[in-house]
Amino acid sequence: MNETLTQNLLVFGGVLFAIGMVGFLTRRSIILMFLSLEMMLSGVSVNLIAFSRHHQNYQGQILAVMVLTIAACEAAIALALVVSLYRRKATLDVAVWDDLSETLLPKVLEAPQTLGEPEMIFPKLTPAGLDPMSRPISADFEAQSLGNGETLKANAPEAGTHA
Amino acid sequence: MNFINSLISNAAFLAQAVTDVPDPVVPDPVVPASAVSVGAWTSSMLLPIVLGAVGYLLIQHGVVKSRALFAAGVVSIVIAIGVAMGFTPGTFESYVLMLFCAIATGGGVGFLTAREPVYAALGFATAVLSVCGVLFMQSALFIAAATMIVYAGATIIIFLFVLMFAQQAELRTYDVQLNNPFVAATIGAILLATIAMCVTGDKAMLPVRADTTRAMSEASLPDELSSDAGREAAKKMDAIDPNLRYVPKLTAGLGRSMYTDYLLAVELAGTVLLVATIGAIALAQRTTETQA
Amino acid sequence: MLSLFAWMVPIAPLAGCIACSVLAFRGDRKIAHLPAIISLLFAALFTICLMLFGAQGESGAVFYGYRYFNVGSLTLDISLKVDTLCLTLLSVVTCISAMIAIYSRDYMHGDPGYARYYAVFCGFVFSMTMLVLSNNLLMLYAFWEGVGTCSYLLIGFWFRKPSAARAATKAFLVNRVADCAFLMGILLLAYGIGHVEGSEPSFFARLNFDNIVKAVPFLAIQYPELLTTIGFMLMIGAIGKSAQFPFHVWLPDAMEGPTPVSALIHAATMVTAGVYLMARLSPLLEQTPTVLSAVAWLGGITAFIGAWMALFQSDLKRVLAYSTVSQLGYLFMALGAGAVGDLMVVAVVAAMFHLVTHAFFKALLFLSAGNVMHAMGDVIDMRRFGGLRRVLPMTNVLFLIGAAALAGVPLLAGFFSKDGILSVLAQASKDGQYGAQFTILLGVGFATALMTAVYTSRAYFSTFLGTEKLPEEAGHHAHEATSVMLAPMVVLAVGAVLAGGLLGPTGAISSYLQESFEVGHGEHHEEIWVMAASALLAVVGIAIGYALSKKGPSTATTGAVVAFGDFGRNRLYIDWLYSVAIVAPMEWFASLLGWFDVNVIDGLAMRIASLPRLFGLIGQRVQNGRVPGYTYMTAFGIAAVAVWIATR
Repeated sequence: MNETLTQNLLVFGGVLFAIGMVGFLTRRSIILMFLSLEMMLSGVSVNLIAFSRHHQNYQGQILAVMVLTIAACEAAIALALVVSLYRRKATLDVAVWDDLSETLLPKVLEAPQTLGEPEMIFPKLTPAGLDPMSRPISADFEAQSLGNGETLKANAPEAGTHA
Repeated sequence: MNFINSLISNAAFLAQAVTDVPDPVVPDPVVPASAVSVGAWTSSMLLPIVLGAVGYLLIQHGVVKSRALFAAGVVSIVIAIGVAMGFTPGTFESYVLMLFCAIATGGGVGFLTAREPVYAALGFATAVLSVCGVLFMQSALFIAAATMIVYAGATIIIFLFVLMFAQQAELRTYDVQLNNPFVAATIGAILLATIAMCVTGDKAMLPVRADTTRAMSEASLPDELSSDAGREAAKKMDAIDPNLRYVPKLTAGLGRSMYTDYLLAVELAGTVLLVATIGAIALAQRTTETQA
Repeated sequence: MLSLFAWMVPIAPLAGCIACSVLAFRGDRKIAHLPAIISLLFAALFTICLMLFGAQGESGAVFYGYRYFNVGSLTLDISLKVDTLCLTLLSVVTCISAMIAIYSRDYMHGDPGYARYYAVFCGFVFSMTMLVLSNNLLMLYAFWEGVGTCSYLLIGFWFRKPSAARAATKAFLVNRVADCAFLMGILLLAYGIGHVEGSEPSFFARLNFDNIVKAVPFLAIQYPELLTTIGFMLMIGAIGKSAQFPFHVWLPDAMEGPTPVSALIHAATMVTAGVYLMARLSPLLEQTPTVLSAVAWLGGITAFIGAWMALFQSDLKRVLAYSTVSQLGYLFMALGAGAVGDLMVVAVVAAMFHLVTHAFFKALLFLSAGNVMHAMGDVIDMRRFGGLRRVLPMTNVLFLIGAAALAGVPLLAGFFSKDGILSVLAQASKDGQYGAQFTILLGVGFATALMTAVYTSRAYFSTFLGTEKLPEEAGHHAHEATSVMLAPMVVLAVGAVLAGGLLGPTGAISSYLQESFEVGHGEHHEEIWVMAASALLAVVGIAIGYALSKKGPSTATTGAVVAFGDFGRNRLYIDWLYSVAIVAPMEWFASLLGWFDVNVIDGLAMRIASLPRLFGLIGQRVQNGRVPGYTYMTAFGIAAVAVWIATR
């Protein structure tokens, strides 16, 4: 049972590590790449804690503390570097930093893209009532009662008025 | 957060879990029957891995292109997690663990596929908090708290600050496009499969090994596990104070081990933190002359 | 002392050649003629000394020079053989070349390649004398190629003119084809002699003429087919050099060279080398009457078609060139008469006699044509000038003498020598086995004599008689040649007039030459009717030529006559046939090989050479300097290591 638990924890650590690695490989934004690094490190922490629990000692936990410390330091320095890089090229794209490449591969061009969001379709209602722009309502207007079918005075609405 | 709510609602059980010190040698209780034989590698363990990879690919494509693919991907991830659940022993504790794992995986997939960077950061935060839950369950209280503070607190906040500083108003190509997701998913799946194979294979697990390299820690062990040097140290500690050998549990024990056996490492960690602080300040400064 | 004379004959022109080469490198244009003329006069002098003082009454002396190389059993000695046959030709070569060198001084005056001309000229004389004097058949072959090379250099003297360069190449290549067969014949001969008992063990020494003469009777008995094959091969070699059908195509194009060159090489000396070879090897050829019969046929064909083509040329030098071809055909016809019984020596005598006289009057004719060309501003087309007897009086007389000698006017040189050939043919026609052949050839000889007279007199009359007509290019050139040019021509004219009478009827040349041959010799019977017939034909031909020169372009409409003229004008389409059947396929094949070389062989090498670049291009993509690419490689490596660990 304990063995099974340890195995499950190790697999979970592996899952986190794999997710972090896939994120690091696929992402093109520097910040998200560093975030994936942090996820890989957290997977490593889970792995260490699992072994600490398995061997009933504190070695794994202490190493996890060290990992955490170094992760924090690395995050600080990395983000300072990201800021410097951003100041150089005004973009977070990691593909623009290819000065070491041969000139045969095409440069990656920047093109603004948006997610394909469907257009909001607003229903069209038939206009009703008065058009306040063409027939401004005076300040002493009193609404007439329409209960007995009488039409309004002075401001008879025209048929088919719409904005 | 959900996690804290669930924590409070399961406080009774968890209180028992966190105060339960695992003994050095604990006989295995009777394992409840489970649908799948656990603890051994079968090729059906590849199924959740493959489904997970497929689901990730579908989701990351569906986020940009069509809702149908997105939904199919989500379904695939859910099925993957369900199948993975079948490999657990059927205890309540393992179900809770699986729940945390599922939330962590969901957060991770969301982190992988979200195109907006802030959403991705939020997915990361979810994953980290679930990891903290798992750590809590393994009685690594200090580590769990430290992880929560450092990752979900400091690191995420710093990332979000930098994102606010550097992120453009609209999404850019480097946000929307992923580099070769198929190849990456393949490599990730292969890696995960090999880890699972190694971990759950026969004779894969190491036997329990008591820590006999550190005298102070060794002095805390029961006599039958300790070596001569440990027993010597134990006698010395008893001579000073009989309560000295009282082994504090959990966090106190961790602290004791850290500041006695691993003191040098702790000091060096502090030095590294100092250097990193200075370095970060130095790196982020603007240079005096204008750059082209 | 005789050996000194013998060695000085070739070495003097060699020294002249070296001196003129040095002057040529210095770009000299003024004094290069001096070393050349002096050395050639010395050579002529020494030849005359040799004739007077030595080689009388002996079958010939051999003067040993030095050992050229000695490797194992292969030893090659340079040695000279001096006998009367050799001295006959040698005197012709040296005297005529000295005369032409003196003539060239004024003809080539002002040409930028003045010294080069004289250097190659002397080189040619050196090679020719060594060829004539050589003791060894292989050495003769080496200098055979030497004269071919000098001929190439002199025909292409004005090498920037494309037609001249092409003509030089054509001459060299046609000779080369014939020389391949020649070399095969030489090697077969050396091989065959080696199978005769008691022969020399050394390969080269077998080819000494003495050894050949000794070994031939045995070869004729043991290996007659081999001997016939050898004879055919050697015959082909001689035919190439002496411009017989089918190798005659180079000689008319060789007129692209300067006129003195044509006079020397292509009239008097080089083209006679083939005849000399046949004469030298007459002991061998005597044993192979088949070969001699073929020689006679080829000679007859050549004589006839040469005269046919000469009738219809409008270029004066071309007329003379085809005339040379035709007269060389006569020589080969005469040599071929040796197929019959004991007539070999008589045939050789007749051939050499005509060779000597032909050298004189043909050189004279060429030099006169040179005078005309010089005076007319390099125009040599007979249709563009006429009636030059007042402009060029001396040339008129000299040309007349040469033309008369060529046509066979009685009592001039050509009459006696041509008559000698015709009488040999008549004698051979009495034989049983080859009689019919030689009767036909005698008829051919008479017809050719008639045509010779016709074209020669036509050329003379249209050039020098009639109304005076000068082309525009003449300008101020239209004056008589200088005395430096005329003096040698006078010497040659004297020879043309007197040589025949002095040498032929008196039997001087006959007895002189017969000292070279040991085998039993037949006798020469004079046939009066042949003499009378040839004299008559000469007169008739002159009359026809006069008539032809009077009337204008031909208005004949009869099919045969028109075809006759058309074929003659177009050189019997032989050149066209060669270019279509031989040259064009070779060029196509060469272009095919060129394509293969450039695209397949070079292409293969280039593709192999471009492989590293391809690998580099592929490898470049790995290091693209981008972080995602590198992380992919890392991740791939990690996955691979993980798989390896899991499956261990």
